[in-house]
Amino acid sequence: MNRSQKIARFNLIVILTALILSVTAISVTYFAVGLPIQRALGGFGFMGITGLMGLSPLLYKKERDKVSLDERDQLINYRAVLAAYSVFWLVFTAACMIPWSIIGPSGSISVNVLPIMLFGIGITLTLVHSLVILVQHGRTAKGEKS
Amino acid sequence: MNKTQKGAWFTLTAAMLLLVFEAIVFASMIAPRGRTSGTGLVKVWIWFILVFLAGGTAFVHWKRKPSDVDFDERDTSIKKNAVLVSFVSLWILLFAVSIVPTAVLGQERAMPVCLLLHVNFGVFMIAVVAYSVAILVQYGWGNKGEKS
Repeated sequence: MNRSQKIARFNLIVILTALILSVTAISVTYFAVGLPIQRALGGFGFMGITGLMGLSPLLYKKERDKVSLDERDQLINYRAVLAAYSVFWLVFTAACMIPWSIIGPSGSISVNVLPIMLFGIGITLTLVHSLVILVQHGRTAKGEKS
Repeated sequence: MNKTQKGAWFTLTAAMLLLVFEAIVFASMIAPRGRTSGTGLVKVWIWFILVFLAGGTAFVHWKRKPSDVDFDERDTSIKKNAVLVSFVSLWILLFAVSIVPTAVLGQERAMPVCLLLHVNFGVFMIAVVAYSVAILVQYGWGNKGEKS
C-alpha cells in the first residue's frame, strides 16, 4: 500500500467515524433523551473529529530514499480530483437549489448556512476523493509500495 | 490559434457576458424601483448573448477539416492543469463567498434565499473564467499554439 492509499484510507476512516458518531449522538439525544431537535443537532459537534485529517501528511511522511509518487499515482490522483470536481457541482447546485425550493423565492435563511454548506461540501469531496483513490488502486494492498 | 485556444476565448467571452447578465439581474432585484425595473435591459442582453453564442460557435468550428487533429498530448496536459487551476480557484472563491456575508452581516442576520442561486451561478461562471484564462495563459494568450 503506497502513501496516497494510506492517506486516503485514513481520511475515509476519520470521516466515517465522525459521521457515525454525529448521527448516533443526534439520534440518541433526540429519540432516547427527548431533547428538542435544535439542541440535538449539537451532536454534529463530533464532526470536529474530521480535523484529524490534517495530520495525515504527518502520519504518512515522504521517505527520502523512496519515490513517493509515480506517473500512475499522479494519473489516479488526477482522476480522483476530477471525480471530486464533478461531485462538487452536483452537491453545490443541490445545496443552493434545495433551500430555495423548500423555503420559496421570497424567503430568507441565516447567513450561517453558507459556512455550513462549505464544510459539508468539503467533507463530501474529501470522501469522494479518498474513495476514488482506493477504488482505482484496488482497495487492497496491491499497489506498489513507496 | 488552435481549437483549444479558440474554445477558451469563446468560453471566456461567453462567461463574461453571462456574468454581466447576472449582475444586471441581481442589480434589478435590489433596485428601489422594484424587481421588474431592469427587465428591458435583461431582454436586450439575452439577445446579445444569443448572437454571440451562435457567432462564436461558427468561429470555433470554422474551416475545420475532418482530417485535422483535435488535440495532442500538450493540449491534454494544458487542459489538465487548467482543470486543477479552476478547482483551486473555486475553493478560494467559495471560501470567500461563505465567510464574507457572515463577517459583514454578523451571525444573527438572514439573507434572501434567492441569493444562493446567484452564488451558484456566479461561482460556476468564475470557475469557467479561471479555466479559460488558465488555458490561454499556458498557450501564451496569442497565436503561438499549433494549428489543428
